[in-house]
Amino acid sequence: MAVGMRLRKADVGTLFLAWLGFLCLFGPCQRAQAQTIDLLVESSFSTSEAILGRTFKYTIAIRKGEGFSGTLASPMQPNLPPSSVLVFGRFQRNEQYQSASGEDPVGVSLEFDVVAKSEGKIVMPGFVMNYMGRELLIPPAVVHVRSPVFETIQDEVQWLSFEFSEFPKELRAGERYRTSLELYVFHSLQNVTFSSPVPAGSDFSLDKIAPGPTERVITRGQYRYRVFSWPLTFTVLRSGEVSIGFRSAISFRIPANRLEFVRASRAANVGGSAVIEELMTDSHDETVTVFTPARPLRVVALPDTSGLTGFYQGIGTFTVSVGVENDRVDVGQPINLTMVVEGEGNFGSFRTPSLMFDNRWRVFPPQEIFEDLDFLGFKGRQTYRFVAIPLSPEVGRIPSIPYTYFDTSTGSFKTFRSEPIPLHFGGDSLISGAEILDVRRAESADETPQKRMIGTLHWSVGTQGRLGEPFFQTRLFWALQTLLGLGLFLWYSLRVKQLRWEQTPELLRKHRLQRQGGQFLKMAKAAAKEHDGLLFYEAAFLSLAAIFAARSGVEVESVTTEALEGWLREIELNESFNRVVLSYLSHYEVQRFSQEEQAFPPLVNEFQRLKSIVSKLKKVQSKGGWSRKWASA
Amino acid sequence: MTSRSRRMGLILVPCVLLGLFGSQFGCQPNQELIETEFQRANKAMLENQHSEAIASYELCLAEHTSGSLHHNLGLAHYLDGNIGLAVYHLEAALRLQLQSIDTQEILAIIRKAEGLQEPKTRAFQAFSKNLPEWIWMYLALISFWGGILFGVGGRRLLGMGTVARDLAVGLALVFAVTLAACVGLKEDASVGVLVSSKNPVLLIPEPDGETIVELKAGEMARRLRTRNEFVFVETRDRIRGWVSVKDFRLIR
Repeated sequence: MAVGMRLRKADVGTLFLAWLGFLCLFGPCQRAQAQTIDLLVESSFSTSEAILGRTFKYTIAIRKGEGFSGTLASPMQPNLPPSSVLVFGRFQRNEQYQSASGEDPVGVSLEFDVVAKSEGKIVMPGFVMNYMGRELLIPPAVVHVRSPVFETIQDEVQWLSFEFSEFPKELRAGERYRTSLELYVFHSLQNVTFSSPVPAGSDFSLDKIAPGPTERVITRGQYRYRVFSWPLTFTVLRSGEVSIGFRSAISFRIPANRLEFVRASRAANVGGSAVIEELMTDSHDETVTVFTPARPLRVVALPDTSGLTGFYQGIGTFTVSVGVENDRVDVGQPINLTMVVEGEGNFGSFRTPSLMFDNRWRVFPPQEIFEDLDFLGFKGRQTYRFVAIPLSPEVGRIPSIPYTYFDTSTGSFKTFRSEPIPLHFGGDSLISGAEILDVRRAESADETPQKRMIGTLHWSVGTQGRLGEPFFQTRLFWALQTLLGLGLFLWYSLRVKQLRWEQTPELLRKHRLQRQGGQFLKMAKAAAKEHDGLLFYEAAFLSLAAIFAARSGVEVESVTTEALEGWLREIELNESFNRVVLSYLSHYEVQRFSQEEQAFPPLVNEFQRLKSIVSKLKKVQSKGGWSRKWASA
Repeated sequence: MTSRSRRMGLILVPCVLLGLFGSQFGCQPNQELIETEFQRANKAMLENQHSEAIASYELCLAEHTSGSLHHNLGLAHYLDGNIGLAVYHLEAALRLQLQSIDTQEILAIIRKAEGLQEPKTRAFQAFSKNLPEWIWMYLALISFWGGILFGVGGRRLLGMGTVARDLAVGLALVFAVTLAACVGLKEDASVGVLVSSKNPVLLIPEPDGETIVELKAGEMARRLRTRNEFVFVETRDRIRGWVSVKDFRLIR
């Protein structure tokens, strides 16, 4: 009792401590989350792996949540928690925009230049910052800092470097830029493998990158380099000073004696390869993450777009054309209009244009087809196929269609306006006068005017489908249901039995003895067929013994004829039945000990009798009244 | 696992697999013939020989059912002036190719041009069209039996603890969603198109019965029941009456 009391007290104490711990850990988080449900706050370092003594960035990003309505204010410089291992420097604010128009900032961020003073895993702890009259909980951030050993060697010879082939000085928010990333690998490095470059930072989005690099070899100074190039396009997402960078994980094998390795690797060194091979015998594998050098980029928001018509977020250098496919029209008949935007720019970011026709037209959303001419989504041809139906002959012509885009070559908006296209109704041709006469003649002859093609044909037969009654009314469905149901039922039964056997070994033993009894019965049948009396009576005895053993908790081998006789008397079956069973037992005993040939009655008939005896005894057993005293006897 | 359980597994697993995918190994139509006939029909369409195109498409349709086939056949019937059959085949194409934008647009153009009303789609019916029918079928099977498996035996027989209960609840929710889709499929199975040029809706199922309203070719209606050679339908405007079986064609 006292022990029980102590345990209970200990449990209560543990629970109380756990509750306190839970409150300490999650209490502030819950509070902060509740306070900032409409503002999403993140903190991060510009790199997950920084170099000791080199500058990197710490960023606090505040974004609008779903429940926030209003404008984000520019944040004041917060008081960062003091750190003995991180030194914070220059501070800068940025705004993030959702659309290329530069309106309505969806997020603001604060960037600090940071220099780490020690190696290892450094945690910038979370802290509370005042913003727009509320307290925001800034989450903690982690950076790994390592020694600049590799970079020191790099000063001597550049083992690896990651560069842009071209880089702009200024871009517009939402503008797409095409360039190539070039990875320079010191030519003699061996077993070089690398991952595809990934963006470092959230100021831009990588639109497309070539699936694999092209490779070439160049010479820089005294050394040769393998250059791997990935053409790519990226789009800047916010205005202000942004940082564009990529990183890639690279593995290579390098010898321990690097100085000798560099000497042997000089381009002019003809006999160097043998030395390198020898040096490589004492080498090891290294894996490093290589970053492109921080390239600051000025991003300017687009000029005010209010008042522009037909601006669908196109930024680049384009040519626009509008054409009509149909050559004859009628009221209620569809006209296929095609608008093609071709050039270089942010394809894929366009909004779908709409035709602003008056209510005498019915206009459908266009079908959009894009032909990617450089496989980077930068140079291409965007086609919009509209279907417009004139609802009145008074429309007269297809109105002028405007399309505005921001021309990056001039730095201003350009508006393309198509010429109005005159229409002739009543089946008239748009161009040829001869066809007009033909059509009128056909109408006067009261022929049904032929309908125009209103869509595109499918050129592939397509995969086999199914129409008809719903699946749950099909035979297949019900066949599957039955199959699954039966399968489940069978599995359930077997599993229940298995578990019962596992829990109660007695049941398993009985089951085993029942199976043994069945086998003895089969043995008796085979013996009866071959008229082998010795085997038959032995099998008969064993099958009776198995029934006895199954209920008495003993093994078949330990059952004696005396025990069986006693049992028969106990269960008090009729006399003739007992006599038959006892005759089997006596036959068995005689066979067993006399070793003489005996005369047997026809054993096939005896087997039938044995079967009925076994089945009757099993029934008697299952009705109960079983006693273990025979076993003990 | 006992040897008997293993034996049962060895028997059951092939049976289940055969049941699930057995139909895939059934008698396959002659794909080459279908492809040839399909391309011939398309060529006839380009040469404005719509009747020949329809005959070829019908030939393909006897062997193969696909959205593209119904789509092209719908266009062919439209160009041939048979609006009812055009709408019927395009609606069938939509059911085989879910969310096919070009088929939807063609249907919208035909309806606008011919003055046909847009069909009303019920909520469950619209919901059921979010996934192909065969996915609903397997979802129904798996969620039902999986729910029973985890609900009845998961805790004790599989020794999965509370995870089994969570799985059972999740599968029960999936099954509830599937039931909604089944209701939608059932509703959709009763929708048909009036394909004749004149489709009188009669007060009684007799050829000389009084006409309540006459529907245009291509109008859609919902079948409520069938008697002899007549179908009792409900139109979009909730008018109920009898139409001839030969004028009405169920889409599914």
